Amino acid sequence: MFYLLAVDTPEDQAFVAELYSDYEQMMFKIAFKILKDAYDSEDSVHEAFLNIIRKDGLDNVKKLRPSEIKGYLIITVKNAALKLYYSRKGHSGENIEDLRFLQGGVSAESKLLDEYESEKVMTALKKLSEKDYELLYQSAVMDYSISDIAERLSIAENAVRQRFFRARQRLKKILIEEELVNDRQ
Amino acid sequence: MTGNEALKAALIAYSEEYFSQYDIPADEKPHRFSLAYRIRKISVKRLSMKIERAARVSSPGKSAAVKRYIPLKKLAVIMTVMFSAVFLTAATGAVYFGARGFLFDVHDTYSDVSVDFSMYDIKDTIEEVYRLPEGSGYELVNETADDEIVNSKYKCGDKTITLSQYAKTFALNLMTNTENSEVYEVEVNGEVGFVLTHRSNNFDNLIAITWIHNGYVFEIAGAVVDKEELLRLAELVEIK
Repeated sequence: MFYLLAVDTPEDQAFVAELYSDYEQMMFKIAFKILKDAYDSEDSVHEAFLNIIRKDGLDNVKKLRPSEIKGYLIITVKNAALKLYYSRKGHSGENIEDLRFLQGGVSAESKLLDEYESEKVMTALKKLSEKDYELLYQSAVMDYSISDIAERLSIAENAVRQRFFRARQRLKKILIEEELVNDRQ
Repeated sequence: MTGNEALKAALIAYSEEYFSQYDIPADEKPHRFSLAYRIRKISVKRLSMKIERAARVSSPGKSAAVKRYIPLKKLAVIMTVMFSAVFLTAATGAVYFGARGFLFDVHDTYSDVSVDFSMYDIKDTIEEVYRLPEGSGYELVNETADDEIVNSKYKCGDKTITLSQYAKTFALNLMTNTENSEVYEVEVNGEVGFVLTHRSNNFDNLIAITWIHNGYVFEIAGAVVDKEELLRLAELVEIK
C-alpha cells in the first residue's frame, strides 16, 4: 500500500498544511533539545510527519481534539528524535535488568493504581519526570502497545516494558507518599 | 473506575498543562528551515498529486513506502550547490519551488522530479515535434517517437547529445540521477529549467538541461559537451 494514498483529498492536504503551520517550529525545538543538531532535528520533524501519514493515518489524527493533537505531535516528534539519538549513540534504550517482575506487560501493573481516584493520580502525575509521564500517556491515552513504542523508538520491547514498569512504580510511590503526608495532617 | 481508567483520565486532565511547557514564546525567533527540509515538506503536502503517478507506475515490490530518504545532512550537501543566488533571492519560503516549475523528491541515488502542475500545463500527447535546426552544427542521426515522447540523437564530430521531448505522462516523473550531482536553476529563452551535472569517476561527467516550453518538458543532455554549449542548443530548439 502506498503511504502516499493516505493523503488523498484536498482536505487532507489542508490538514497537513495546518499541522505544519501550527506545530513545526515547536516540533523542531523539541527535537533540537534532544539532538543538538539542526539537520538531525529537521530530519526528525520530517520523520514524524511521515509517521503520522504512514503509521497512524490522518483520519485518526483528525479525530483528535486540538489539545490532543498537540500532545500527539509532541510525542511523535520526540519518539523520532530519540530513535535517531539512540541510533547515533548505538544505544539500546536501557539495560535489561531482572525481567521476572516485568512479565505480563501493562495489564500486570494496572492493579497498582486501582485504589486511587483520578484527581489524586493527576496530582501525582505532576511530580513524575517527563519521560515517565509521556510513556504513560502513550500507553493509556494514545493506546500504543509496548511493541508500538519499541518500534517507534527502535529499542527492545523489554526495555520499554522495563521503563513502563518503573514509571508505574514511581507513580505508585508518589501516591503512597502523598497519602502518608495527608494522613499526618 | 479502574486504575487504568483513573490513570487515563488523569493523564488527559493534566495534558494541556503538561504540554504547554513546549509552547514557543511569542518573541522567540523562529527557526529558518533548510532548503532541503522545505522540499521534503512540499513533497509531504503535495503527496496527493503523486497518487495518479503512483498508481500508474505501481508494481509488486516497488512500493513508495519502502523508499528510503537520505538524511538531510547529505541532502543539504547536494542542495547547497543546487540553486543559484538568483534562485535563492527569488525564493519566498517553500512556495517558490512550485513557482519555479519543478518539484524534487530526493532519494538515495536518484530523484523523482515532476513538473509543478499548479503552475504549468503539460500536453497529454505530442502534437508537434521539436528539433535542433540545421544551423545548430549538430546533425540528427537517430529519432524515436510515439504519442508521449520523442527521443532524438544528434552528433557533431565526436560529440553526441540527446534531445527528449516529453508529454504529460513523463512530466509526472522525470527519474533523475542525483547521486554525486549538482543541480541549479537556469532559464532557457526565459523559460524555467534546471541544469544537472552528474559527476562520475568512471565516465565523462553528464550534463543535462531540463526545461518547460510550450506545454512540453524538454531535456537535452551530453557527456562531453559543456553547459554553455548545451544551453545554446536548448535555446535553438524549434518546431520541425
